[in-house]
Amino acid sequence: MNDRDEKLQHLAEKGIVDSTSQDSIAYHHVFKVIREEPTYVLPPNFSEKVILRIRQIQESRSMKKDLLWLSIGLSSFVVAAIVSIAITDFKFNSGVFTFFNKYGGLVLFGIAFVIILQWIDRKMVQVKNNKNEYSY
Amino acid sequence: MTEERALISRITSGDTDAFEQLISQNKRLVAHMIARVVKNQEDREELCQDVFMKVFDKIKAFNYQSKLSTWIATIAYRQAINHLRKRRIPIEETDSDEYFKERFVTDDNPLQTLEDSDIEQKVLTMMDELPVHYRTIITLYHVEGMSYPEIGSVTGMPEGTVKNYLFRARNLLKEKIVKNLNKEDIE
Repeated sequence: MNDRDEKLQHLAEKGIVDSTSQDSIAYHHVFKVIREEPTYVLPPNFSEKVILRIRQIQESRSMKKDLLWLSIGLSSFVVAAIVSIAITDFKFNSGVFTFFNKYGGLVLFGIAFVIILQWIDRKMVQVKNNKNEYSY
Repeated sequence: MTEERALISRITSGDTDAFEQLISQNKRLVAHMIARVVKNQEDREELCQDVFMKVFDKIKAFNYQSKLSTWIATIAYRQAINHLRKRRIPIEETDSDEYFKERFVTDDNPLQTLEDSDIEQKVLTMMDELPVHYRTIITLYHVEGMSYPEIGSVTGMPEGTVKNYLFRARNLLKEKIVKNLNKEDIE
């Protein structure tokens, strides 16, 4: 640091100007400007934007936490099932579902019937109802 | 300090109104810090938001060793510097000062007239050409009224370096004005 300039800076900081010295006048200008606030101003709804971002992040974190617990639960279930099967020497038995083996045709008919019923409902009943609504 | 503690405790218990209060108390400081370092207008608001998001995340770790505003200014400063690094915007070296000084002072940008208001407008433009660390220190000292130790804590620089940079920054601006005033005299 240079002593003369240091002294001039101290004087300029206190607002003292030596009008015969170019350096002193220059420092006077410098000190006047550097005390000015930058012109950049944040928009009035800035706080709300930040709070909104915080809420979004909190929601996403909470969702991630829920998914983590769900995956822990599912994995525990699978592990428990495997351990139980291994310990109890469990053998899969279709039990009541063996009934479907004897009546395959009836099952197919049931499925086809429900699908056709849905199709008729969409194509005919709902279209007719919509037409009636728009006719008012 | 007690008010700060009460506010922080409300924030940590999830009170968003309290955080909104913290934002309105400190948004001017953060905007000044970011605006002095980052020149791109579009990035500024997003960076200011990022600063407050970080404040919200880290406020539980605030240890009351400094003022809350100093701590927030530290986060803003780091965020701004990291932004420049990410965007590969060069942070001017202040150590090679003689080289910089020569380039800065002799830069062909004469002050057209000797009108005070014009000179001051030009000095504002010159300030934007100063190295980032100089601009930051000037803002913290002259606009925010921080002490040398506080600025040291924000920027991570020793107190002596802060004083030195502040002196050099003001000296560079003065040199440039004098150089241009002399040009006017010669012409």
